[in-house]
Amino acid sequence: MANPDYHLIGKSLPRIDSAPKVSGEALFTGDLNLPRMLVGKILRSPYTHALIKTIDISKAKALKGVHAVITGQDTAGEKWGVFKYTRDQQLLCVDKVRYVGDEVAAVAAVDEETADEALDLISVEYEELPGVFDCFSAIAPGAPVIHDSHPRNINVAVKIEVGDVEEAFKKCSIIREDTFAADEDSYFMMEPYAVVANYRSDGSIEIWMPNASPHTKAKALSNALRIPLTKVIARKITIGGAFGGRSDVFPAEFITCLLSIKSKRPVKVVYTREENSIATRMGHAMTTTIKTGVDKEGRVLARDIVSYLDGGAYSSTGPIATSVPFLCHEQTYRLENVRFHGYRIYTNKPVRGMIRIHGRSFACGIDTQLDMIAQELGIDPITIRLKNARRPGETTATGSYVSSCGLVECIEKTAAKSDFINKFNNKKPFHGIGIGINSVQTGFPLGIRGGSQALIKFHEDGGATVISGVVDNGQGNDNMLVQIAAEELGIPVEEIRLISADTEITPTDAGSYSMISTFGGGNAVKRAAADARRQIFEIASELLEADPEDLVAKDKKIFVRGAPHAGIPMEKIIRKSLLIGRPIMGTGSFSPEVDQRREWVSNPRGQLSQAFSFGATVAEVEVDPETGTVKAHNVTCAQDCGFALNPMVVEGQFQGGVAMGGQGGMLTEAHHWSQGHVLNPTMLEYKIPIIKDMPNIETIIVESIDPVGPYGAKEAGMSIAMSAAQAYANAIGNALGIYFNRFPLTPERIFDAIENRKSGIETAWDLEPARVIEFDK
Amino acid sequence: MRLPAFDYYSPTSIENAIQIKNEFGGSAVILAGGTDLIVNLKNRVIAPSVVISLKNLRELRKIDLAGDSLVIGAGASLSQVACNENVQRHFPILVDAIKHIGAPSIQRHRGSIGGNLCLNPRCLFYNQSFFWRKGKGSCLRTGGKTCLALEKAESCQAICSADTAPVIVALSGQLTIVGRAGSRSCSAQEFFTGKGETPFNLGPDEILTEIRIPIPWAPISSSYKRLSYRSAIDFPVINAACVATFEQEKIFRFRLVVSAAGPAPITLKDLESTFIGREPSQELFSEAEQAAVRAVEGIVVDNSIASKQYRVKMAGVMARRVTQSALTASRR
Repeated sequence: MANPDYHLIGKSLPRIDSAPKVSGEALFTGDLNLPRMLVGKILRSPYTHALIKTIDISKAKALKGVHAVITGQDTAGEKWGVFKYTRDQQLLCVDKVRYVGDEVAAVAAVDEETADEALDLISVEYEELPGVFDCFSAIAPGAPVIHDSHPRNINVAVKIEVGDVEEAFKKCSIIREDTFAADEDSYFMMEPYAVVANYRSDGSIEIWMPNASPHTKAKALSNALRIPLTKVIARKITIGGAFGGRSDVFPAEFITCLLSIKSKRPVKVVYTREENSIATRMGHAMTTTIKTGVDKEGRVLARDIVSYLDGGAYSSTGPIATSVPFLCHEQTYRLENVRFHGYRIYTNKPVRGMIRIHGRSFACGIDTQLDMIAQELGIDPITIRLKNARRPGETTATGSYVSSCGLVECIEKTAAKSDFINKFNNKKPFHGIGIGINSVQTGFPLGIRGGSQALIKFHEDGGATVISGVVDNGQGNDNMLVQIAAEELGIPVEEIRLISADTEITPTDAGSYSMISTFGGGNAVKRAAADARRQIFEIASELLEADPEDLVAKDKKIFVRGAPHAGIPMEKIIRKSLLIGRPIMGTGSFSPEVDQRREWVSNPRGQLSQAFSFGATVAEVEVDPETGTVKAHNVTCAQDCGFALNPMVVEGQFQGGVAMGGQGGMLTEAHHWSQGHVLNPTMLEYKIPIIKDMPNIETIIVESIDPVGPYGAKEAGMSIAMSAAQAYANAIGNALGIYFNRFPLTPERIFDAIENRKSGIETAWDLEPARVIEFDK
Repeated sequence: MRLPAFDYYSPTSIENAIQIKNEFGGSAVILAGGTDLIVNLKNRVIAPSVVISLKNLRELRKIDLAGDSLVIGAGASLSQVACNENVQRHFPILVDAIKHIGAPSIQRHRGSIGGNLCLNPRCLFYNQSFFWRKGKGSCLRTGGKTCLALEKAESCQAICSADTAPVIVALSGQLTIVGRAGSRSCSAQEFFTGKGETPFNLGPDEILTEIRIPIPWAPISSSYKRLSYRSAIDFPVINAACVATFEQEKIFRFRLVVSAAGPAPITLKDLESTFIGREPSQELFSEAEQAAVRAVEGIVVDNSIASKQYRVKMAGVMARRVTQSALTASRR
């Protein structure tokens, strides 16, 4: 919605990074070439589970052109984990490998051929161990134990209980229990992972890599490498997508640094597409059993949920990943009596982390079951959602106050625009319509996660440079920062430079995950710009003999409100400030008000995030019942993004959310396995949709104007990404009269459900339920 | 990923190409576009000592009418074939098949018709990186003793995934193969051996040079369909081609080929006699479906992203659909 008070904010301006990316001018980590740079390569475990008996690197070291060879012996068993209590991943395996792809050794050599040859010359003697490849086998008594410290392979157990669930179930008129499952999914960022490290004689090390937080990476590397934080410098570089998969710290960063330290030369490691799939992160496979009780009107009175998440070999963001599907759900729906048991379980598969569409089985389970209950009650999917949807001014089950919330508007607008009720009631054969709703956070505490700070300095021609720690990994953060500064300073976007995401220069930032960048980094830049403007107005008020309160900054001029013709050019004020010894430097910081005592496992209550975004997606599909293939015709999506700083960027994020969450996430994207070996590590057999597959997408921006977000903005697109899968699943279900409970809905699965159709309001498949795990101790 | 080391030749005459192929035999591979070959080289699924490029053999890129046949040089690019007037006029089914291959910008401009026919049969346990295969162990085609997809298999069960293969077979194409001993002709059906390790009827000294498709004496009805999970840049889960001619309202000639099931396209021979003289009907379409299911049941194994059971059933659906579509379409 255009706001007359703003001249740049709220307008669809092309992103500042678009032209360089389209023209090829933007350089990614893999493009970097430093003088004397070596090629690094990593030797990985070919086994799912094995003891390392011996490693012989002598032949590799002797090969001409090899400058460094490292193994676990060089790392003192240094481990990584997001939290102190989850440090379980050795940055180079010392005694045991736990999945196909685990890092065992690494080399740096003059070229790729030599590095490959050197890898072949490293001989590792393994003793293979039996592996476990799914949650149910992993927790079974007597199953192989992957980490000795974790009996029954239970990595994380989260328990949340609010209200009196048992008592509330007694008051329900309908109670259902259903189980939903989803396979592993992957990010498939366009840019495969790469790292360049450059160790220098002063003991400092520079590092470039796609990331979601340069400051977090630097801290972790400083600890692991035992180099002071000041000397670990994460540099800015163009990043080709993250989707949650660049947030963590990976062994490759540590390994590349070690190779550079050892060889005293810059080293570059570039992952193959397969390595990007198996040795960064994947999405969790998940089974969720949901028991829901409602009253006669369809209001949810009680809910009891148990989730098993297949976490792979190590913790990664384990406690967060285990909790987030539930937290999104408790934001979306009013719940007075609810219980959640979440278990993240180790298996001998690649490590799972956060993903943009995390928790398919959970969210689809909730929304599918709600449709089943609605059918039992004889009401439609829109009505039952409106009865249970979150409203502003309410508090979530675990105690987060929700100040701004446009969820009801999102549901109503998508339903109206798609003609939902009419299409739902007058169904054409094999055509279906379905809705999904969800909510996400705008940042959450990560133990010791701080806020964001920004600086703004000026040039003698009146232009400015914004300095911020926020990283842009594809979503448009760089543009967001510049557009905000331009608005506040009255300087055109083209005359603002941006220095960001470089730990040597830029102040700290919380990192570009959990959707905090606009809310945190955007606010910090807004404040820094306001601070600079105040200083500018002070000088201008002397020159104009006017009260600073009456001044306006626009078009690189400062003038008294209503008198733009008598304005002073910005450059004049900047020069004046230098002459009088009061150079202008804007500073600003923002730290969201969240409950810092909140902890994922030990204390899951308190304010989680200062604001939440909400979204609804409606999908309309047509199913070919003979093959199970689905054609999505139309998708209508609405999100309460607070305020759209740049509607074009927001709409782009919505469309991307539909592609990743719905079209890919619900129709085709899944990993296939053979005993812990992933059968489709590359894009050919992992079926990411292409543009030809995409439906027509209608986007609706809902603006609730958050009281704290910059200009009222929250986040753009994640609530669409996280509700699109449910919309697709329910639409396909509606087309066929089948309630699906295994995702994604590949043609094969749909075909199977049609062939083995059940009668009554039942889920398509009988799946083993996830149950509360009783601990022996 | 790097290419392995090999010697590279780009001969300027077929004779010269044969000479080189003859010299190096099985350790030499032909590069005719390379959109599949390069990937396989990088994955080290093949490790030739010599790569012979056909790019300088202009005569292999000709498309001409010769007598009662359309002769397509094996080196003609897929887009060149699809855009050729004679191909469009006589064999729209081939144009349709080509439109399904890969991506227009890569496979259809770079890839060649001969290269597509000679596409290395694919398998989820074979078309993987060297690293991947090290962990899983070698298969029959990579020097191992067992097939990773089917424990007791005696030969490699990889999947013929070329879109043009069932179409050329359905059109009764004849392939010209040139070797040390001169030139010979082989029917497209016979060209496929059914063995994944040695999928083509090609001697170590031989090169595929031409595809000859007889121009039908009467208008033909034809249809090609494939099932895949993505609308482009994908291989078929299953595909089928049907070609028929009519005399009055009755089927005079009929050929139905199902592929992407096993190492070779499968021609449903029985139907070629039993359908003669009949008129198109739902019953007949169902017979085609059942015949296809029976034909692929013993052939399909679990070596694709889609399961064996699903692929078998879809072979039936695709067979029925191409039959129905060909027999009810307007004739050309």
